[in-house]
Amino acid sequence: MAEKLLHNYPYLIAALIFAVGCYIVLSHTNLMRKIIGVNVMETAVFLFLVAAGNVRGGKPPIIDLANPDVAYVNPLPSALILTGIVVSVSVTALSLALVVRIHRQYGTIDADEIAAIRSAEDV
Amino acid sequence: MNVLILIAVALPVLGAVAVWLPSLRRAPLVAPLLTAVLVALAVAGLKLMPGGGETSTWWQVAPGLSIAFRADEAAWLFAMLAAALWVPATAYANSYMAHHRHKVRRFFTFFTLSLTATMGIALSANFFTLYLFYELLTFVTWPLVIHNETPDARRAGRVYLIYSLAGAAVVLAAMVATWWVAGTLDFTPGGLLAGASPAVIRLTVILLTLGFGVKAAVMPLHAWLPAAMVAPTPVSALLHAVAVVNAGCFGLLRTFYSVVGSAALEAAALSTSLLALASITIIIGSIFALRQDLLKRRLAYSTVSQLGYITLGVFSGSPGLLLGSLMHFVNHGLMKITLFFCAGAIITRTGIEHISKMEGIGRRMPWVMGAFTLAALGMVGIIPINGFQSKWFLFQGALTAGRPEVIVILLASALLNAFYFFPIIGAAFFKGEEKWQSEGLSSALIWTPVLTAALCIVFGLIPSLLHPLAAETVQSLIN
Amino acid sequence: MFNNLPVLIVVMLLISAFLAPLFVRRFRRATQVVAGVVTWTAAGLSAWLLARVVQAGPIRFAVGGWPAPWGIEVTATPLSAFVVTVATVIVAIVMLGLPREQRDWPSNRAGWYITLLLLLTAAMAGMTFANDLFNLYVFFEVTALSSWGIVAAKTDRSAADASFKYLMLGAIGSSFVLFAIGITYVVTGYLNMSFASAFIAAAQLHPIIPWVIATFFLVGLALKAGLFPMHIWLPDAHSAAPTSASALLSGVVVKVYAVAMAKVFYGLFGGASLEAMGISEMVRLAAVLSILAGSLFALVQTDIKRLLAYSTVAQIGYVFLGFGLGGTVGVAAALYHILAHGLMKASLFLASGKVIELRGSRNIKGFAGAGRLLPLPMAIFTLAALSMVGLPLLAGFTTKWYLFNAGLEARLYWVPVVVILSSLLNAAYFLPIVWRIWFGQGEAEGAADRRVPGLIPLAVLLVAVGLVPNPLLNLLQQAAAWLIS
Repeated sequence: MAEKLLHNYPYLIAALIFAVGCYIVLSHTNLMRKIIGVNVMETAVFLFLVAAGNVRGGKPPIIDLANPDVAYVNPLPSALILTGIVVSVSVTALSLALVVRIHRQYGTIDADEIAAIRSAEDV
Repeated sequence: MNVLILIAVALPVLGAVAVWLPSLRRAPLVAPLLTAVLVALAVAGLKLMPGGGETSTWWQVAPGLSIAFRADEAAWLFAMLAAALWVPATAYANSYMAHHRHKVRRFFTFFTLSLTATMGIALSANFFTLYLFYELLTFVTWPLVIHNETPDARRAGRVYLIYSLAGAAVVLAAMVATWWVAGTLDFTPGGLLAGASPAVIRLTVILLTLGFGVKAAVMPLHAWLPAAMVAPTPVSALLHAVAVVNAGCFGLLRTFYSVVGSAALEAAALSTSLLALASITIIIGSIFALRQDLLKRRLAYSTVSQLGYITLGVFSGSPGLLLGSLMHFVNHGLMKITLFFCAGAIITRTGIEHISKMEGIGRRMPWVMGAFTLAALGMVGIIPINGFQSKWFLFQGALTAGRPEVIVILLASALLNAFYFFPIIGAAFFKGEEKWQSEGLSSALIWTPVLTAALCIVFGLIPSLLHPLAAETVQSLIN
Repeated sequence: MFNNLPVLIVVMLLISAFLAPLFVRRFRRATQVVAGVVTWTAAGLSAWLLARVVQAGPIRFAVGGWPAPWGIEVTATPLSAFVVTVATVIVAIVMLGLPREQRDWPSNRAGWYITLLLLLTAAMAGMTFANDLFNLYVFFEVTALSSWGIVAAKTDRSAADASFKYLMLGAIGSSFVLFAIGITYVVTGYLNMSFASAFIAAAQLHPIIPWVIATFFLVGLALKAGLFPMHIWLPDAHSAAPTSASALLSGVVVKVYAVAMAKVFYGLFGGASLEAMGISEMVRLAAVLSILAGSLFALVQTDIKRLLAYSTVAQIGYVFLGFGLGGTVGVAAALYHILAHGLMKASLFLASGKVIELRGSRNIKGFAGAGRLLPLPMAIFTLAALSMVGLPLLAGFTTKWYLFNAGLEARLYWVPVVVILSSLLNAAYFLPIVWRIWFGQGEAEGAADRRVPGLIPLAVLLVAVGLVPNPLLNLLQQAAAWLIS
């Protein structure tokens, strides 16, 4: 069991980083740090997929017709991750834009201070 | 589709709309009265016309859920009672609202819509239709309860709504249980749950008792009724003495005998505890009535207590008691509407609401207090008045059913009735300094109670008016 | 001809989405009209598609001619065609109000708002048609991005804050979903749901693996759908958005995530093993918590939009409950409620939007006397509220009835109890508002303009599905049978 786990260490590390990212988003009040946390989470998933696609000793998947027996690395996860990165960049861009707007409107980027301002407004 | 049923159920909706006709200045007064008369004629016609007992389905909502009506014996009894009393009540309401001008159009809209809901409950041919109109009745009577929009009225409205909605929700649960066990919701003579396990039957019976018991004011679910007395008096008279509370009793009757079935009811073996519940309602309701000084509240608790007579018969499952309770269903309606009419007339003419201030009122308003006295004597069970008859049949039923303890309860209640009605009558006629005078019979405020009191005597003197109908109904429900 | 219809619907919406900002400066009215026409066309096409797939069976279409499992596969089943039809129809109806809503907006904002709406619609359609997990993920993200944008469309500062909150939790949800997709791919080697499902059925997997996949999916999708206790973003987001956006977010978008969950769960594992693995149990538990907690929170709200948003938390619970109960009846109840609640909630938001505009405040006190000012919108509000309470003959009752049946069929006797309790709670927060509308004392002036575009079609549809639910439910049971098999 332990050996199996060690053998698959990239998966474990991915899960660990995922948890770290989740923790960052939920525990920090600074909006910038939250965004970084989301990025960490997404990166962890990318790591997971890259690791899954890797074939030990595999070559880049450029088909060499003369040499049919070569083991290739699975290209599909990498392709997926490219899309994933695009999505993640756009999410980051949108959230940064929102942070800029929040800073302009509230004068702070701390979630607790924003909440305090809003509850003061409600009264 | 039966035309008469269509008129009875749907015409009041048109009537309610007609209340808002701008071109007719007296539309708010004429439309409800006309509607009530037409509906009463239609319901009367249902008995005379052949084929009234056939089911007419209006709409199939989903498999098993259809809106269907049928005028069988029990349905006709309730529909006729409500429709017939609706006519004097509307006339009375017209006069009453002429004195208390406040949102007259709104009042008559919902007053007339209540007739639709009541007719729907009475004539329903399946549980879904019954539930639909039972729920609807809450929504159309709620604005009537809070009509005055005082803080008290709002509070009463909230209480009424909470009780009624919770009750309807429990009814819905019972309906789901029925559907699950029986696979159909159509009312069937002999019931639907005959083959079910006793536990399921017991659950259903308890749910039905709780659900319809709210409107039937079975203790401890009665608290909304005295609170709702802040409503204008025509509302108290019609809805809280006849339509709404009787809808609760009718719901119990209908579901106990056409959904659960008398055989299954026996298998559930709950009748002793349910009878105890009804008996407690009778006695405690009377005791509470003793302590009220506001006339309408005293009448409300009296209603709570008297409804106990009706539920007693329904709960017992024995033909004899059921016969008595059906008689009381009608007779109590007549007597109680008279009492409320009188209370409203006194409030309108003199502004007196408290019993302690009613000394000598009988000499100022002899017609009204005369009617009041008659109805009150009927409540106690004095001989020529219709209240005596229902009690007589209840006694007989109790003996044949082998439940002598019921007689003790009934006697005790009669005594308590005397305790809380006689002082009012005594003070009205024999105390105070007022001179004898006549209030005049021209206003509907005065002649409607006199009319209904006269009906009380007619029904009391001629038992054959009601007894065959009630016996037929019992037959159709139990066999 | 028909096979590429699903793709056509999505692509048409996508293209027009990005054309809108180009023309809005010069021809604002025309742009709004064209956007509406495009959405109506999409709605018409999906209705046609629905009729087609009901008749001739599901359509599978391999995009670009690459066959599955390598290429991207799009499937139009009765289920997905129905959901897309519902979504596009409601979007199209709500968009009728755009010209009025955008009257005072600068062109820039008006144009991009139309872009976001069309993008959102396209993404929802894409997500529903996708039979490929990764394709699902992409549209899932596009849906999320456009909803975040829509929430931030108003310029006041609570909008930015609400949108950011939504974004953070949404991004966590997305990561969970992507992780779940990754695990599925690692385990099965497929992204196509049909192939993955065949693999899972054949391979003797350790029971923990499907369970982990399902949990990750459930957490991710429940976050997006606003299921309790992951609902915390929802009241902020749905109340900060412009009225039309609130109507769509509450009425349609959250439901599409529920459908995505149903598609993934039934598609990957099948109904029987969902029950065996305890996943259905988990969904039901979350649903019940959401139904009760959402209603309880709604009880104490004084802000009408937040109240409606909390009510959505409760109502989305009905949809999850239906899917969790399984069986054709349960799934049909969930699908029916997607339509019914979409119509109810959209009507409620649009009608209250008018009151908010009139009173300048979102407090429910503003409803006092609104019945005299806006008789028709308020009558429709009342109708929708009573339907929420579940009065018979209205759409809400049909959902309840089918949930009862599904619960009893599954021998889960608490289901009727929970549903009845929830309708009582609904009554407790809707009826006081209805009372205020008709009998409350409030200013009776203002209201130069009483029309609320789109409200009447919504109400007509709501009454129709309430009175004549039978044909629809037959169709939905067919769709449900297809999903379960």
